Amino acid sequence: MRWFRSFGYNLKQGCKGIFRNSIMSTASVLVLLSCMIIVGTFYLVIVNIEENFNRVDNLNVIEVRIPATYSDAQIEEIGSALKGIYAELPILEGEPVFVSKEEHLRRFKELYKDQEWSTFFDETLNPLRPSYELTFSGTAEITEAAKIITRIESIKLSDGNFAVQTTDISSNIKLYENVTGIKQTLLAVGLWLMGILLIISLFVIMNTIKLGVFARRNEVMFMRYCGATKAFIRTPFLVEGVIIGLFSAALSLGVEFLLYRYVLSGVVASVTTAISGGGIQLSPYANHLPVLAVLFCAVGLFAGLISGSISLKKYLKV
Amino acid sequence: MIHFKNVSLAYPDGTVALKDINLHIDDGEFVFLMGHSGAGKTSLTKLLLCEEKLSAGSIEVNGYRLDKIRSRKIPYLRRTMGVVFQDFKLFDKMTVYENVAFAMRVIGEKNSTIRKRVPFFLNVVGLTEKADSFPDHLSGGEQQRVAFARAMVNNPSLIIADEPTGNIDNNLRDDIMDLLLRINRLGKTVIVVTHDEELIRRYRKRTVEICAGEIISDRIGLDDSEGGAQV
Repeated sequence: MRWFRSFGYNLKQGCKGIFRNSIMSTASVLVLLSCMIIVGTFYLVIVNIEENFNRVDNLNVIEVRIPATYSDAQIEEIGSALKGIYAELPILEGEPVFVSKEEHLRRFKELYKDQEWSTFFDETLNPLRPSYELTFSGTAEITEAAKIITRIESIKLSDGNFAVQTTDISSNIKLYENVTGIKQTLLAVGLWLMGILLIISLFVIMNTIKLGVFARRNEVMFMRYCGATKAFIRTPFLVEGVIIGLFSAALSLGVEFLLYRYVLSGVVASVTTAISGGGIQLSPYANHLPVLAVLFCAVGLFAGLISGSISLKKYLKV
Repeated sequence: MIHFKNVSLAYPDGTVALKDINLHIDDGEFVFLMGHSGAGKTSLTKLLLCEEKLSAGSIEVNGYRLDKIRSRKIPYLRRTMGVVFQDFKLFDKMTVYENVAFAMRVIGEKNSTIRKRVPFFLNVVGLTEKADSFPDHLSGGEQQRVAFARAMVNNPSLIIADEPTGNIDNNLRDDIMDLLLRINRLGKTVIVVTHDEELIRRYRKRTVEICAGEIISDRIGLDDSEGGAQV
């Protein structure tokens, strides 16, 4: 019961403190809002790049094509040889996945389902070849990938013939490297901006709380002489910081939604029309809501508690 | 009970505020703490309230050893005291009732207790009718009585009044002193910090005089010629 009374009192005093210094509180919320929006926008852009990147193609997959004339025994022999390569080259991940020509046909029909000519192909007319898919680490460089390909193409069957050919993956790796570079640049820029704005917001919240402490100095002095505990005197100021942080987080989630829905999707729509003819898709905002909510609340709580604690340590003698 | 034994207080800048103070005040006593500006009255009060840490000696107040007290115990020591400030320090945006209730809220008292005790103390100081008024609408004497109600509401055993008659006329001074004497008769220890010699002559209570950080006299009234006696 006592805990509830204290909780209610602290919450009330925290809210009062916010309205007492409404201009500084608004400034704190706006700086934190900018910080969170930047973090959120960069996060959403990076996640969407990654999702689209994964959706368009498996760029870190080497396809080992098997000639149509090979028997099941020969296909299995190739599979065993490929498993052996995995042990030699640690940049390969998982194990080779066999994709039958029927599966290739299904994927092909799925990819071109809008095209009428795709219906000409079926089980009886299937020009596609079975293959093995080998996944390598996303961080592999072209020279490393070339080693894998050379090794795969050196596989010989028991009759002495070279077994397979692979797809050319150098352009994939280049693209992968470029996109990874863009993602890393965006991440670095986002983190720097977030860091700078977070520091600014810490100072602004600190000043907001400092003003609150000065405005209530008589009250604080009286509370001390009455026998109020340190926690009782300090908590409302911390609550003020936390409310500013959490309110900014909630506001940021709403503003981010509007930005995502109307601005980012508009930009993507225009880029898509200009470049790729409908290839880029934005995932629904709801998919990212839990991560963003946790991220924003963490930033808000961090800023509120840290700046509140520093301010109290510096300006409130209890 | 208050007991000072060889107490000294020096500030970090080297200023010696109190020198070798020995003082004993029993429960229920009424004591004037007298001295000119800068004599050391405020420093002594600050020591009582644990606002300053003594440099040497030992102090016992209401069962707490102040030379050994832990910081988390200080609020509980302060709950045994009620302080009336010279400028009252009432909160303008709170009503008289809320001002008094605030002293109880900050130590976590229940609302039901607050609802019982605040009207009782407003009645003691004769301000029941003014419960809903704001301090701005009260006279100086009424404001002071609110300050007394607020100091007493947590039922402390010691009341410290800092220059309670500093800025008021003679009639009001008598009212305030009557109130302090009534509080004293309730069994509370009362310490009145003052430099008002007229007040001390008139009421002839135990007077501890401080000068340059030392106790120079401890007697009833102001001087022997008026019938005062050395304690």
